[in-house]
Parts: sequence; C-alpha cells; structure tokens
Amino acid sequence: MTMIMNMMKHMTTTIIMKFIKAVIIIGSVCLVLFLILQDMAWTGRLEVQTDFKKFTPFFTILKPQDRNIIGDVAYIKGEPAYFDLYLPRDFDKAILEIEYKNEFGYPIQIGPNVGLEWELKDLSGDLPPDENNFIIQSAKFDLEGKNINNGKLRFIISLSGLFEPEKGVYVKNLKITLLRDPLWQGSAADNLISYLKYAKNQF
Amino acid sequence: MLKINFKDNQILPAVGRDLFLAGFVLLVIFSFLELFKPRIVTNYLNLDIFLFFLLLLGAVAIMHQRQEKKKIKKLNFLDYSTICLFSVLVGILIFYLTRTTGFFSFLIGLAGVVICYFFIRETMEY
Repeated sequence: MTMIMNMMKHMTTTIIMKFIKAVIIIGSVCLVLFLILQDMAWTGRLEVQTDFKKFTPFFTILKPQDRNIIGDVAYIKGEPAYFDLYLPRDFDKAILEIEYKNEFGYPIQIGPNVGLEWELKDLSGDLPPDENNFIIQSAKFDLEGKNINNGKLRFIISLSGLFEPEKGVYVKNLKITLLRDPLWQGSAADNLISYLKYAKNQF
Repeated sequence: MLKINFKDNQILPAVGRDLFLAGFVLLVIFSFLELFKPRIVTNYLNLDIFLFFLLLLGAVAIMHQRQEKKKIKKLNFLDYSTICLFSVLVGILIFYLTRTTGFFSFLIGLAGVVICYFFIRETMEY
C-alpha cells in the first residue's frame, strides 16, 4: 500500500514537473515571438512616448543640452531644440502629440528632418488646457522620403521669438503614434522583406 | 489524498534550475537577435529586471546544489577549461546586451561569468 502511494506520489511529482517545464518552454517561445512581432509592428501601429527627462529606447533627450533644463518637466530656454526618434522599422505616417505650456505665446512648429531642411508644421488641437495651463496639441507627418539614418529620425522644435532664457516653454510629454499597414494586410512576404531591408540598413 | 511535498526540496529547486536554464537560453537568443537587429529586445523588455532575476536564479541554484554532498565525478583540466570558456562567453553576451548602461554593464557581465562558472561546475560535479 505504502509502495503504491509512493509510486503515485512520484508520478504526480513527475507530471507536475513536466507541466512546469512545458509552461516555461512555451512562455519563452511566446516571449521571443512577442518581441519580434512587436518590433515588426504587426498591428500596424506603435505608440511611443517620452517626458525628455532621460534617454529612452525610442527617444533621446532634448538637444543641445545647454538650451534645456530638466526638472519636474523639461524646460526649453533657447531655440531651436532637437530630439531623435529611433524607428524600429519603416512606417508610413507619424502622429505627434505634445503636452506643453507656452505662457508667452510663441508660434511653435515641429517637424522631421528632410535632408538639409525641416518639414515644419504648426501644432493643432481642440483640447482645453489643464489646471496648470498645459495643453495637448498634435501634428501629422508623412514619413516617406524623410532623412532616416540607421533607424534614427531627427525632429526640430522651433520657437520663433524665444530670446530670453527665463521666458521659455515647458514640455511635459511627447507621444508619437507610428502607423503602417498591419501584417495581415497586403502580402506578408513583402512586409517581412521590407522589415529585413530596414534591419539591414540599420548598420 | 496525495500531497506534493515541497519540503523535501525536489520541486522548487528543480523549477528554479529550469527557469535559470530557460532564462539563460533566452539570453543567448536575445544577444543574437540584438546582433541581427539592434534594439529589437531592449526596446520592449526591461533588461535590468530580466538580468537581475536571471542572476538571482543562478545564485539560488548554485547555493542549493552546493548543499548536496554526494559527489560523483571529478573534473579534469579540459572540463574546467570548457566551463571557463563558456562562462566568459555568457559574460560577453550579458556585457553586449547591457552595453548602454556603462560601467554597470561590466559589473553585471562579471557577475554573469562567476554565477555561470559555479553553476556549470556544480552541475557537472554531482
């Protein structure tokens, strides 16, 4: 009787161990697949954001550093300011949303680098400012033909008329939504080839 | 009713060891993915947390194995050389994955070498 009990106990332990091993293996495979699919933007949409306080995988901080102060929020005291966006693959469009406080009413323009020039756009939006006078506004860009080097695209923030460092602009948050065709639309092979070509050009 | 005995140190250490091995294999896969396409892993996964748990699991697995006394096999010079080479390879992989973190990257790579060395040595000795 005791022997049978011990055998059953041993079998139960073995089954549990096999189950746990299977879970670990399936979990690991899922994690790798998730990372690859996420990088390929399989849904056709990738949202990234930064508060400019430190470097993140997708964004640098605001440059040059002597034109900015990083406190509770980033403060731009000189213009123009720049930041770099790292794109994991080729995208068609980008919607940029910025939360900022512009107490002195400078005309703010943002845009990506196009060779020797910048494609500057005015910010627009209907949302009212919050209690601290921060407002969220957006701009939409077509990414075709932009100067993307090694997966990096530089943006400029132009604040015409900002000459006094104490009369700057606060930037709380920046969100960029990157858009392209989802993986299941069109040819999956073409999608994969364009991803691989982009990966190759990152070096 | 049958009960699983967690006190006799069979299941939990085995799970810990399996997790460490799975994490180690993932580390190798991540390193190759990063070689193929930079930021493919670091964009979406917090490597600090991943490596912390991996090194922790490795340390726990070593400590558990060191408590067991029954030695079966003595290692020769070739075994030790292989273990050293393999551990250094692991250290380089960790160093490569965490290269953006500066000096911390070197330290964590070194910790990876030490843990991997002891873990493999203990595994081969018993």
